[in-house]
Amino acid sequence: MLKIDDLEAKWLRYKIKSYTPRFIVSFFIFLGVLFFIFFDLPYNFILEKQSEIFSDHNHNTLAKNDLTTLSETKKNSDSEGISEDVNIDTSKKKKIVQTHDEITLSPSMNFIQSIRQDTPIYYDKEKTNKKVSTKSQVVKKEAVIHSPRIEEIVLKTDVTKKETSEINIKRKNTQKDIEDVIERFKKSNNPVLSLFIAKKYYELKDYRQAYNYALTTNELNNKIEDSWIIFAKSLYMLQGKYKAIEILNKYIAESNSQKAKILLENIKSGKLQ
Amino acid sequence: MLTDIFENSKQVFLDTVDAKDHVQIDRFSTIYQSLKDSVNKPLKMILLYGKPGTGKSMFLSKLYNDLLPMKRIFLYQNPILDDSEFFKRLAQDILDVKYQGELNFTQFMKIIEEYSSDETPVVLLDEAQLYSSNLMEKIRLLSDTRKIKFVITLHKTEEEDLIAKEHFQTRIWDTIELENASAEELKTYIQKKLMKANCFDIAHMFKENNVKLIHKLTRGNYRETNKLLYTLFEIYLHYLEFNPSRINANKISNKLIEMSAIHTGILNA
Repeated sequence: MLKIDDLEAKWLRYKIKSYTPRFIVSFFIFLGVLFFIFFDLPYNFILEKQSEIFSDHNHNTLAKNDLTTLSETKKNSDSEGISEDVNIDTSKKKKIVQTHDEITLSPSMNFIQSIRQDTPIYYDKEKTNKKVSTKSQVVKKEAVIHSPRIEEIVLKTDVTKKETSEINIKRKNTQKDIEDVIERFKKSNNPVLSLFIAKKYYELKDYRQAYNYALTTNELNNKIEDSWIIFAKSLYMLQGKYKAIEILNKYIAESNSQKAKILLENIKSGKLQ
Repeated sequence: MLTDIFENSKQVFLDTVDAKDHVQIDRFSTIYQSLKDSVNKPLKMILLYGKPGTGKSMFLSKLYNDLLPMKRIFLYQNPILDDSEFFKRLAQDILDVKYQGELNFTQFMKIIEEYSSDETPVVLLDEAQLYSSNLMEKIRLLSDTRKIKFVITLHKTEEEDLIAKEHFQTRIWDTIELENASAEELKTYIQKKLMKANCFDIAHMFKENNVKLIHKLTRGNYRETNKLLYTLFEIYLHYLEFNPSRINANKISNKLIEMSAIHTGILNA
């Protein structure tokens, strides 16, 4: 006898239970969105404001520095002449560079590490040798390193990455490839070739052909472990699970093959797909 | 009127093993043909296996009904667990001899070895996983005489995997596995079953989403599907009687399918 009211109540409970995880997930997503809206946007706004304030401040300091250097140059030109004006100009430049260091983001030198990792050891050695010799120069020029250089280096690393990805050889196991090997096998009757064909057919999921060639290999040389393995696997794939088990058991009894034992376990447990 | 239609539909899904209820599905037809072919081959033993509820008993029943006019065929739907009773039943069916006292394996073997016939009798053993391994061993020896051909059905469970035993593997010459239905097959199964009972309107009420839900709940198991749909129509009948305004009699409701699943224990609420 059906108790519809009870059943309806149970159904309602089931629905609530089944929707609870979805509700929790969507609630957290909603919270995340809220967090983004209320915390992340004001944070960005503060950052923008900060950068604006910084830029204003730096403009002021730059202007001040310009003024001081100009006044200094004026004073110095008056007292020491034009030849010293050039020196003052360089000091002015230094000051400007210093102020720029304060404002702009300084380039990360981590890329050198990545370049080192990417380049072969002998290049690295050369670089270190060069570095030792030019170390003093680098120290002097460190402040003058500009971002464009870094960009160049980064591009170079990208190029090396592209080159390495192009090196990968793509091999296609087409039917034609197998046909060529079949032709060779017909001429030579070599079990290595027939085993190769069996493996390729297995990879191409043509289990009937894989079965045939594994059997042929086995007839030519029944000591080849892989011919037993491919034979059993193909048989399994052709819905002959119990035959495959039987064959593997026989082969294990004869050869004590570890590979066959593992395959047998996989077939029995249904792990072989 | 509507009540009658739902009542008929409910009866369609009553879980019984009757060859007349067999529904033609493409995969079934192929498997059945291969089983029929195997029976006609000179094989000692044929194994039909699959998970419970995949239609093994139905197959065996259909095979029995189809071959009965042409072959000497015997169906043992309920396992005979006592050795002596089993051999006495075989003797009665195959040799037309009724034994009163005990009949042990050695005696029966002697009788069967002397027996000769133009046609090998076929014995269909359902639920063979219930037979003791000792009796199964004797059945194997009987099949070795080639005087009787056995078709056995087994549940596909790891503990009851009798065929894993090496001695058995070598005797089984053909194995046929039955699997659960796909969503598409399940739809065909439901609709054909209903149409067979002239419930055309109800058959067309099952839409894609209904079948998908049923398949999800039953994993395509025929027995579970029968159970679920039987309860579903029972719920419909209940609503029609007591609260008809709460249901739409023109389409199958997923809510009611889920309620049936809860009632039958498929879903834990």
